[in-house]
Amino acid sequence: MVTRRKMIQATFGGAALITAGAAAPPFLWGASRQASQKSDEKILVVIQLSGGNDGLNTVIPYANDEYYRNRFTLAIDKAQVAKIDDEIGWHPALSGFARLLDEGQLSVVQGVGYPNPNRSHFESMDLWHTAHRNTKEFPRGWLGRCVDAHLSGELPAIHYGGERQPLALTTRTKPVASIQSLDQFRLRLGDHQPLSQGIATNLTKQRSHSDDLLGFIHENASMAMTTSGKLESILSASDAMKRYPETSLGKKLAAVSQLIESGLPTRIYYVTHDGFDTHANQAAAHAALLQQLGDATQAFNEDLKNKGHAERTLLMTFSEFGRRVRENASRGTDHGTAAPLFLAGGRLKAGPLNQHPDMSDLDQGDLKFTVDYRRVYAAVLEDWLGVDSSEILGRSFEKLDLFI
Amino acid sequence: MAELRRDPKQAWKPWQPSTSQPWDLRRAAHLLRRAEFGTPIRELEVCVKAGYSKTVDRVFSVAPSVAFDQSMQSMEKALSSSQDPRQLAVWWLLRMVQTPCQLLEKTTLFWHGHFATSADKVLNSRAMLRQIEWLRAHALGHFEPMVQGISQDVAMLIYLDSEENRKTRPNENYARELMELFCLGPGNYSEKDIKELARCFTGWEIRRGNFRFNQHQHDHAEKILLGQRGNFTGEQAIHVVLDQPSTAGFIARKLVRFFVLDDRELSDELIQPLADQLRENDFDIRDTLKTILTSQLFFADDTIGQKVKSPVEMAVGLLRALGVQADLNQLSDQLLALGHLPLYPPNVKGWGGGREWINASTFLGRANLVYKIANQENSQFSRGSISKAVNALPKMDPEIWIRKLVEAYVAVPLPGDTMHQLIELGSAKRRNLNQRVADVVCAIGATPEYQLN
Amino acid sequence: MSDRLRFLKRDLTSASNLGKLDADGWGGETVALVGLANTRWVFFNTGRSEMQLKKQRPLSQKYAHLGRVLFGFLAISVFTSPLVAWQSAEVNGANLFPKSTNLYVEIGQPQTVVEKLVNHPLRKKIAKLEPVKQGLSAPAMKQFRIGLALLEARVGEKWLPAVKQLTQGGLFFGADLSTESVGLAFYSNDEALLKKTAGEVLGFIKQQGGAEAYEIKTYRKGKLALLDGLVIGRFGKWFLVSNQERFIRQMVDNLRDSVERGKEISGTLASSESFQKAKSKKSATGDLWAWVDLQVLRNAPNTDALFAGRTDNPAVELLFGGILEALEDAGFVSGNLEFNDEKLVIDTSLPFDTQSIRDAREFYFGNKALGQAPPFIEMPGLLGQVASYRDLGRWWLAKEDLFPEKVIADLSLTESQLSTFFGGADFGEEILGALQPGLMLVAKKQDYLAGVNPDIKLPAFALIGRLQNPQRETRFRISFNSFITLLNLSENGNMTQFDVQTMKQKDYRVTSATYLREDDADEGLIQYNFSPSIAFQDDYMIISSTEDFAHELAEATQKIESTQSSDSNTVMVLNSEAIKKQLELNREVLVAQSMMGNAKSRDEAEAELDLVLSMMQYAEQAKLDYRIEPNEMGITLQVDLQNAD
Repeated sequence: MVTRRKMIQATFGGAALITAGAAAPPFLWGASRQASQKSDEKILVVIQLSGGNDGLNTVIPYANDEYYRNRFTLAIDKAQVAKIDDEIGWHPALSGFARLLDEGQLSVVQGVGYPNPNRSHFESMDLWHTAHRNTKEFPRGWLGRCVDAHLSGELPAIHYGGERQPLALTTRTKPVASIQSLDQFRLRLGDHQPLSQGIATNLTKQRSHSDDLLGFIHENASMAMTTSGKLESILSASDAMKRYPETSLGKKLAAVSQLIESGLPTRIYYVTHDGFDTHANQAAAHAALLQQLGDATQAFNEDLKNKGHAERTLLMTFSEFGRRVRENASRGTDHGTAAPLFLAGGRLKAGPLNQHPDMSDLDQGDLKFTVDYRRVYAAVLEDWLGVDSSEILGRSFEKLDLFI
Repeated sequence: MAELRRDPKQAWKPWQPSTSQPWDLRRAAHLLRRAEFGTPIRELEVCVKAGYSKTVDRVFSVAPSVAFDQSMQSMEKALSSSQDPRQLAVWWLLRMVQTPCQLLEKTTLFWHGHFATSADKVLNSRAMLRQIEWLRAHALGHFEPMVQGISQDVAMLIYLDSEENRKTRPNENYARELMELFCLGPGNYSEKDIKELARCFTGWEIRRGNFRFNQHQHDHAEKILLGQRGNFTGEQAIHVVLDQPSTAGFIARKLVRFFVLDDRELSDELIQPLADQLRENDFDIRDTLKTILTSQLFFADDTIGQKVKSPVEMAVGLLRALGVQADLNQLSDQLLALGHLPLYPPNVKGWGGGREWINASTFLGRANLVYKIANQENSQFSRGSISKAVNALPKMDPEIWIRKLVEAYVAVPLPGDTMHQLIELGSAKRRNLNQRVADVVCAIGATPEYQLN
Repeated sequence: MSDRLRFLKRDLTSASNLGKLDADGWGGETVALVGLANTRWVFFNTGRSEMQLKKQRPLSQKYAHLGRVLFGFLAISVFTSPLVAWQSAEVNGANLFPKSTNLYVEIGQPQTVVEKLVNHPLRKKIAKLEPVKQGLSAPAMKQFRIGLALLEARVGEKWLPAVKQLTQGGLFFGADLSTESVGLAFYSNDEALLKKTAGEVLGFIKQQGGAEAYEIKTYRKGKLALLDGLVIGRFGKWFLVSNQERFIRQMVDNLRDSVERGKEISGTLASSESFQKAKSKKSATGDLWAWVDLQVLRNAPNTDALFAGRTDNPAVELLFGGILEALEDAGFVSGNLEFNDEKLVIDTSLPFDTQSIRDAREFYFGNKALGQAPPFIEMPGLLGQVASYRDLGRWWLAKEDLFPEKVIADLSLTESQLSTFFGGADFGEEILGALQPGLMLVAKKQDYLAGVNPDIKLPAFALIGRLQNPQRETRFRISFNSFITLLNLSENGNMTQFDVQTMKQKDYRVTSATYLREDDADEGLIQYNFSPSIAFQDDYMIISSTEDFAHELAEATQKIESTQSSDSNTVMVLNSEAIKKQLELNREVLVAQSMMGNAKSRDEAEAELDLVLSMMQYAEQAKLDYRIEPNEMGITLQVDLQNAD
């Protein structure tokens, strides 16, 4: 349990501040009270699987011969599939997802796509990101629209990672922060204690300002110090990073979890996991990616549960499209259409929510979609984030029943 | 936001030093901080001694340096061929630090925020360079030629997805932004106007990296735009837009928000005299800017310190004030993290400024930035020690040089206990002079007061 | 940009990031300035505690500090002496230092060294450089000269002949890095002169620092003067200096017990096995010899990476895997430096047991560590060449044994992406494995066609390998075509097209992709440096960045005798003149980078560049030779100096 005393101690490392902290200026109380009030607000974490995830080898219809007929070298042996039910099972590398499912913390929506699949890689990506056909209007992402219209306060959405900001987050009016490391939230002033302590004292002291601009800045500075303090004590906890795999996705999710724990008012976090465009020699690469995904997600969920945030955090993966049913000549697969989408969190209806797309009824060699992706968006926007979805998505979509 | 209550008739009258509002270090620093990026203390003192009108001359009539321009030109040529817009951004930062024509550079930055175009999407460093050069050429000139040029600028059209505009399906993107963001402001035009304006721009396209007017795609028929009828070409249509009554006020308001105050509502009446001046002078920017920066409103006591420093102003200002040589590549990374790297505006609206600069992820970033500048291994202060940089100050007594630093670089007075802390840091035993000055600079940089412009 | 291309670009970037090495450049201080700076330091700063190695400083700074001390003392001699007939004094300096010493440097004949340096043709050239001239006329220098003149007057000898006599018998330096102690000793044949000089120096110090400046202690029938941070003492013909009293006492003990009695005792450096082993291999000639005990470095913090015997970075493994293998167990490293008017040679060696090499490293050493680098290409105007024995196929296959899970996963991902070009062929066995071990990398300044003028001028460079099976040529050519096609299809607005052609000459074939230039507005693009090409001559495969270079190399490989080969594992040659010309072509870019990296003014940046370029004139060529022998691994660096005026 991280007490305020520990936080202050951790940040400033000085006994002097403890005495100041004991007197706890009302300012600080106010800020942390604000933070705790916000702690009921729901958070969405999106993991973008860039490149087009091969859904057929992720959620495997192992009971279906068509699968083995079409995936001559890439098919996973029945014996190795981690069974979910009589018809589908996990790729063996997704042990993390299997565990989450066992704990009732994972949902699978299969056959997610859209009508008139556009095989242009770009158009398809744009569609998933903006939820609109290419209207040539200056594009804004579906999450960007949500931020512009509905989310107030500072830092409504954060893209964590070094990549270009994804289109899904592009806004028109409010800026979305693209952050690469937690250093921005921490005061990095080297080892000179008197300097750090002096600054900290100055910022956390309560002052009355006749000037409200200065007051605003001071208030923010205080809150920034609070966040910094929380982060420092979170990060200095000995097992801060231990539970997470040391992959890049693992590190990103660890950082997201730390930011959530530090009490930031951010509602949307977005990270990307790259490399799914496996046109050749898919087997080893895909297995590695799925392993990373499963392990990181499982660790993330576990961490959130321990810190009490699992009930208010929803994790959603998506990928621009799936891949073709039939394997290609290079032991890989090419761009396809429908694919499964995964959600993880404490309030979900766990398990597969629908059937695997029919493998005998293909559209030019591609799976036919059964769920329009915008229905998933609608459910997330309305039932989770609590905002109206029709404006954002362009029209009304019947939302899926995702939550308990 | 609260509204600013001022008498429009008095606000923009020229300011003159008086006993109640003398021309002192505080006001000189204020003028130079807003009109330029940053000034070393010695120069500030020279400006105080030289007097108000000489300082205004210095700001507005500084002669360009041929050597500097040539140097910049050969650099930019070498850089743009690498096609990395990040390098170009770093080059621009170098320019801001070193250029003798500070007001011009600052105004160029203003226009860049106004005509926001992001290299992240454009990806073409040459096109970005051309745009910035165009903006610089017209920054203190007239607004109309600037807009005409920007409307045909390759980077702008790429950014707004307006590389093509066909007769049969007019592309409304640029038309919308031209009216909403660049010239009129929301509410001063209708959806129909957007459609009509889009028709005026049909045939405007980018082919192989250059602007081209495609006759065959242009809709030559009559348009009804903003109450005017005519077979407007794109250029003529722009002229119509600029002729609107709301344009001058829109631009004037933006100038005031960038250079004077952005934390208060500015009423139309207050802006009106400036708008009139703009219109009467054919949208001469320099002229109106001079009025703004020499006005009574500008020098009023409750205007000083009523803006938030943008990260670029903070960083470049500090570099110039202390005469630091720093690694600008690293600085560009830090500025990107703070959301204010030139050439990389977050969206088409540019940088909102004001309170947007301060939030949980940026406040500490700013303090960290000051720390890095003051302590970077790379940075050599004025070819010697940082103590030389604050050379105008007697070296021995910390209280004196700290007070001087604060007076020159912090817009509003610091509370007593903060000053005590600074003096303690400045006289710490077992730290040499360089370290102590760096510590004090760092501590000042982390105060809320320092964030004010 | 198409996604494939984007992903490829990213993979290539991450692959190159995997191989990025951090190189801290060494500043270009000339011996002159360093020597001067440090001698001034020694004479005028003995009162300050800066000489004392502070514990807070990072390790590298401390070593740099030690280096400075060494340079300083060397430089005193450098600038101060012509020759006097060397009188043989067969002193084994190693007997002076305690066994705990882990760094030892010996200059057996300082006056020869000094003679060579003073009369070296380069010395005059360096003295003419602007920054050096400025340094020499600085007020600090003038002060130094005044001080020196005073000293001369007191000692009664000019400093030149004085110092030459003072160090005749040899100059020896030892350091114990774990206790941060250093010691320096030199032996003079003229005891009276030594006594007098020492006395005058002390008097001088007393004058500067007052009565408190130093304290005298007696030890083993001699006197030690304890200054602030420094201890000195004269014992007979020996003059000793150290930064710690304890250390100098040990030196004195050894002096009395071993050296003066002509006995070998245990407890001195000379008695250490590791040291003896190294000394036995010391060559007879040589100006400076150094020995470093690696055990201490092994135990030091933050050096695990060096001695782990493996690395997580595949590129580092490819380049330096063998060195890591040797460092893992090596007890010491020794080096020999020799120079004359024409060249400078530095030889370093590590003990190494070729019998115990890991199997996984066969890609590096070859079978029984006999892998040889291919012979060099003879061609005028090259910037440089590297020829190395590396078996890429084996390297890829050995990745399971060499790297941790995560790296293997990343490499698999990269392989998957690259497979697109190779039609699904197995990357390790069929692509990398198609090459014989033995690769060459060459670079040359390129000539541009009329009207083609990129703003950044890159040299042409090429990778040359030999195919195990020349029939494979077609597969590689097809892959090359696929790669170019992908570049052409990319949707990045800046990419224009490459035109691919195959030219068949009498004995070789070249397939090249030349950049299509249609618009004058395309001035100065960096792409103009490239016309990627692949050429096949006999079983040679040449992958070149320009078409012309591919042709030239194809012809040059015809002249290589297949029986030729080198004795070394890797050889590298750099030609200073050619490199200098290449840098000069890019003057503006270098100046721009310097200005932005440091917010320097143009004048400063240009002056800096000019200095670097003029210093490059002093060497003609640098050659690095890396050999494996049954019991030793050696690296020899030879720099051929520029003699002509």
